[in-house]
Amino acid sequence: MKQLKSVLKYVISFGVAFIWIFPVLWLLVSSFKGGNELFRYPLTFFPEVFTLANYEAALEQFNFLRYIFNTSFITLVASVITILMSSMCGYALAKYKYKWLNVFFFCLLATTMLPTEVIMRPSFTVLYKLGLYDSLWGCIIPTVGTMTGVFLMRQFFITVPNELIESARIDGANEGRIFTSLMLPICRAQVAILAIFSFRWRWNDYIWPLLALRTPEKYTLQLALRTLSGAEAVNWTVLLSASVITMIPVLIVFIIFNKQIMTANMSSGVKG
Amino acid sequence: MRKKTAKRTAAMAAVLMAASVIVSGCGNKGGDSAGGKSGTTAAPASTAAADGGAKETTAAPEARKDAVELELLISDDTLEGGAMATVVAKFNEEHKDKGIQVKMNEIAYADMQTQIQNRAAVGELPALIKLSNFRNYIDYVLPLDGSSLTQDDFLLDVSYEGKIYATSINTTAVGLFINKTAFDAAGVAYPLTEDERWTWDEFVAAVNEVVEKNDNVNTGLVIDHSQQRIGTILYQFGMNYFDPADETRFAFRSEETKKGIDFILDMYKDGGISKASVGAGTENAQDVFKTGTVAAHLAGNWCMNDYTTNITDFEWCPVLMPKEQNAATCLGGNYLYAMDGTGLEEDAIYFLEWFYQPENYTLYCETGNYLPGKTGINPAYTVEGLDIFNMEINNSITQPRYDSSIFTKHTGENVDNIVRDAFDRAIGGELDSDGVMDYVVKEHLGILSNVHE
Repeated sequence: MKQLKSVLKYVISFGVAFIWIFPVLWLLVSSFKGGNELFRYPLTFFPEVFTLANYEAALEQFNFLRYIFNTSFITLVASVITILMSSMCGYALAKYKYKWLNVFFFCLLATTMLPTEVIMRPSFTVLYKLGLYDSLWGCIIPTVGTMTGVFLMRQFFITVPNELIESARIDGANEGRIFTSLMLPICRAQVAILAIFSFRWRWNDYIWPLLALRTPEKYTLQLALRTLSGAEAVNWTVLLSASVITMIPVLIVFIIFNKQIMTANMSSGVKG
Repeated sequence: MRKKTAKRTAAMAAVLMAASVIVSGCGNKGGDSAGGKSGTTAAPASTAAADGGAKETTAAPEARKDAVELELLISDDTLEGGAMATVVAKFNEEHKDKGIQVKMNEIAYADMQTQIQNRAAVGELPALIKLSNFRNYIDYVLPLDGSSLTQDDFLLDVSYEGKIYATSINTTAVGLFINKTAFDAAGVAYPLTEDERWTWDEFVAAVNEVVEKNDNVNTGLVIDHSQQRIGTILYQFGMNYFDPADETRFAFRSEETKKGIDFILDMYKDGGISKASVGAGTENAQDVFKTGTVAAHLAGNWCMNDYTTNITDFEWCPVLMPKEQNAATCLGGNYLYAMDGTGLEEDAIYFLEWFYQPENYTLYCETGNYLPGKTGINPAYTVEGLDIFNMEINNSITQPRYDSSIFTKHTGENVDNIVRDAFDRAIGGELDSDGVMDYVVKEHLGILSNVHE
């Protein structure tokens, strides 16, 4: 019975994993098919004629290095600032007891009820007035203040015993030192979670680069990919290969930081 | 060990960040506003046009100290074969010592409106735009009445309140594609000359025979999820949007229109020649046609490049559309125009005039296989079959153009997809043909000013 349960668990796990991975595999395999095979009926999974022409076309059409650099810059800088801002704000909201601080927290929380689309126009005006229009910083600044991150960090810091902070104060540590030397190291798991989320949000971000950028040399990967969908047609062959190319940097990051990402996931699960 | 990894990770992140900051030169420094002047003040190109006199072409700019770069905001050029890129490269080569260059900024078609609106809001419009409409941005478009270009040069209406504002860079026409292999295998003839045109009933019989005699073909016709394509069939059945004798009377409701609507809706019923999923837009007709399982596709000349590149499993060709009461096609197209207030107006006009010189414009049409938007141009196309679309244009009734000109007068009163929406509901079983007419009439009268039924 126990063995049957275990087998069932594996079957379900593999089944769910397969459902998740199948479209990605289809994308990958289809990127090596010619345009004539993509819509052939009945559909075939493997290419009949394996071709790299789609990749050649994609590399010829797009300045991938430039787009990858722009996207990486936005992703990296925005993620670092997001983590710093969220952890500092979350720590303050959890550990300092000032009048109105909770009201302030709920005001912040209320901002999550406003969809980005609603505040897009005023945000764009602020961005322009700050001189950030057509700058990569214009894609970073409006996105770094995330209440999701603040909330995540606050909820963690609430669970940290106040005695720890008080004993540090008794030992002579100032508030900055307590935060950087004591608090930040113990919330590594939360930082990792937020980093992963932030990386994904910014790497896939479409709307802010669209609003904030107007010079082709500053475009991100997502903006470039979108040009393959036209008014009347979509260049599927190049779109597939270009999509695969855009996945490569994320994959590399995952491979490099695999251990940290997995540890972070597990730790966050234990913390629950 | 763990500490080491953490340190290494932190070091890598720091190095990456530092490199990013150094290389990007982030911030908005360069001031390389596309469509801007990279030096101080550029000497303006001399314009020879004189009010009231014969219009002359803007003179070529003299070589100047400070180079001017005209930004051309465009979409779909790479998708459609890179015709504009080819012509811009030619222009830049010819003008490399003259201090004027054009830089293309290609973005997604769906993002054009957002980009133009944002840039208008902050006063950073590009010098030139290629897009399917110009009237929505008329307050920002540069009138071309000081140039040598006139309305008579262009096939589409490029004027607004009596002034020429744009140029029609290409035209598109609705037309019919067939799976030639399947038709030939079934021994069914198809019309390539005017006297061979099917009636719609003959067309239904023809595609039914093709489906019957080809195991791999299971659908007679797919139509793009588009108001223009639906409208084309309705025109063929005798529909008018506006009364030809009274442009304030909305004349959609008629026996002819009802007959056309019933015919289209019958296509999507069980046993009909089409598929409801395509009619309602959940399946893309163009992609479905490429599977080879469809006998015919009602679309337009813009499919030519895609089909030439991506269909190799079967032969296809454009043929003449069926007619009922009329032969009709709907024209569409794109416009190329200059923006006002960029400080580069004269240079932009110079580029437009250069672009429409027969040699340059013919190159554009031939490279992209475009139907010309300018009169007197005869491109030699590399793909066969484009003449069919010219035949459709030449033999079409004039009502679609008349209706289009009336809708143009109602710029800003958006009635773009009312008929398509009504058909979506009808295909889903919510409306019958009378319901479609009621809906379409009610919506139009509610939106269009000074129009009655």
